Amino acid sequence: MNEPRARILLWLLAAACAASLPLSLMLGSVALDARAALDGLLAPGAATLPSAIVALRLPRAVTAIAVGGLLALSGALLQALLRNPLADPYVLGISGGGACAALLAIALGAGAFATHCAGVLGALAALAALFLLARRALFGAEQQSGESAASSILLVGVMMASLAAALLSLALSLAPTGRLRPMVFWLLGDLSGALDPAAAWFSLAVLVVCAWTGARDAAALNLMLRGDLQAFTQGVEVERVRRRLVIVASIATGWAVALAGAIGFVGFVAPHLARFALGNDQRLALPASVLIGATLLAAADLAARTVAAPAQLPVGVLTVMFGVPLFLWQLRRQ
Amino acid sequence: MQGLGLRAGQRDLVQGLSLAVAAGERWVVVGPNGAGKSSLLRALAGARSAQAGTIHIAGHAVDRCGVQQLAALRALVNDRWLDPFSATVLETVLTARYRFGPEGGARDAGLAALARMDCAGLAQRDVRGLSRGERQRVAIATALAQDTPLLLLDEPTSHQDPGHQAMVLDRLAAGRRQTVIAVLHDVNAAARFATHVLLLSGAGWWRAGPRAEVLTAEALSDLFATRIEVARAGHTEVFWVGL
Repeated sequence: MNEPRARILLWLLAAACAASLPLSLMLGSVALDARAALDGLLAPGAATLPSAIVALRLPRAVTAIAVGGLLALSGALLQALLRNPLADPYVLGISGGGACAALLAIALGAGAFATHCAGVLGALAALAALFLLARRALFGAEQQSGESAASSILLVGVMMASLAAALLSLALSLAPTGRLRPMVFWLLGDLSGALDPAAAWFSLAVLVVCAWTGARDAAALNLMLRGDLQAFTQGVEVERVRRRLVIVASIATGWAVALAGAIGFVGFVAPHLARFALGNDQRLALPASVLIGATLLAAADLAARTVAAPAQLPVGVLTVMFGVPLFLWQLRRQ
Repeated sequence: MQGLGLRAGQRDLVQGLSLAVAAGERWVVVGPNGAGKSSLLRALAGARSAQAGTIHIAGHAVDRCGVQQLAALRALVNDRWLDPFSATVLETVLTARYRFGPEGGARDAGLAALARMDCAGLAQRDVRGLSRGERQRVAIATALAQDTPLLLLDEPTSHQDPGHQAMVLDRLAAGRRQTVIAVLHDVNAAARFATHVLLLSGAGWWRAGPRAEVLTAEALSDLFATRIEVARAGHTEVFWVGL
């Protein structure tokens, strides 16, 4: 991949991501034209219909971008850290861990912020458990054959996802009927609860910080892909970089889960498309993954709002329906 | 290195190994399977801690060096490599330039290293589509591109055909600025390449010194517990396993 072409592609992706925002404001069960959307945007709080609609749609659109970017970042980092193109926070049960913790926090009567933090901690715990359980496959004899390492990580991840699903079902069956609906939200992955503009913009800031931290280590990650020993001899502080990136991936996943529940396969699909378009240099693939993930989820949420309007579909259902065939195709190709 | 000791589990691989490698020398480590040759290389590279003793490279104690500092002192060619995602050969070689940070001349250095290993034509190929021999030469080129005074090689010619084996060793020997420590299983290749030889038994004892003194039929017979004989062919000695 030559440098100028990669740069152009990245800018195009950024443009697509930015374009999803006005589109999300304009389209929906009530369509606004560009002028009305702009009026609504510039006069928040005015007692007009456009203002009210924009006030509903803007936080949701920003949240979609943030969540998509966070999930894609987490997926891209996990795929590189685990040296496995099938890794994804949803498949590996990290989203499930975050959702479990967030659900527990809700059950204990925690507020919104505490619930978000619980989601992050749950994701971190799930990821730590994954690395601990799959430690031998990953770093043990340094270089097991790629295939067996890949399958043992996936197996551990699938087990963790099952455990998380069981815990979620348990929580659902014990919960009082009145709380069921907000809890199902965590299972399906849904953006309809994202109405708080402050939380949305803050999440975008979380995305920027996480992506920036990850991108700083992209060159080192390029080396770690090719084996820990190799990276060490070439001058990478492997342990430190890995610890930092694992934490970034957990925060990204946990925050995304706390905002929108367990949305599946965005973290798998986006890095794949990024690699397909730009190759495997992480310095390009990481930012591209973030932009693609953000655009994808914004588009998916737009579809979720409009396809069956005025009814709204949970966006997680759409992403899984799109992601699973791609995942199976990739699995077959391996 | 001084009084070096290496263990694997309960087994003492190396005890009290002390030797000095001077700049520009080419050492070959010879020994039976599981004797600790690769472990020794990793200890020298600072990737594995020794149970006893100290290792200095160019006056720096390896266990006190930072990762970046070590990367400027030595490169290691492992005997296995991972390519989980596709990448071009040139991209793979350029990973070795990490220690220089962003720089202008990286591409030329990478291409020069590839040319030295007879891989110039492979630069734009996908590493995952290479034969094992080609991939191994790319790994050696990667270590060359790291541009270090010391080069550590773990069986660098295990996948090479006879022609490429000779080529790889001759070109490594031609870079006289670089000190080389290589593990080789082919005793004749070792005899051709080395200035000095370290025999590592895996049972604790070792012998080190100039090639002509150490690499003898008697010593090799002891080392491998097999009768090894030597014949002269012109100026070179040829070792073969006796019947």
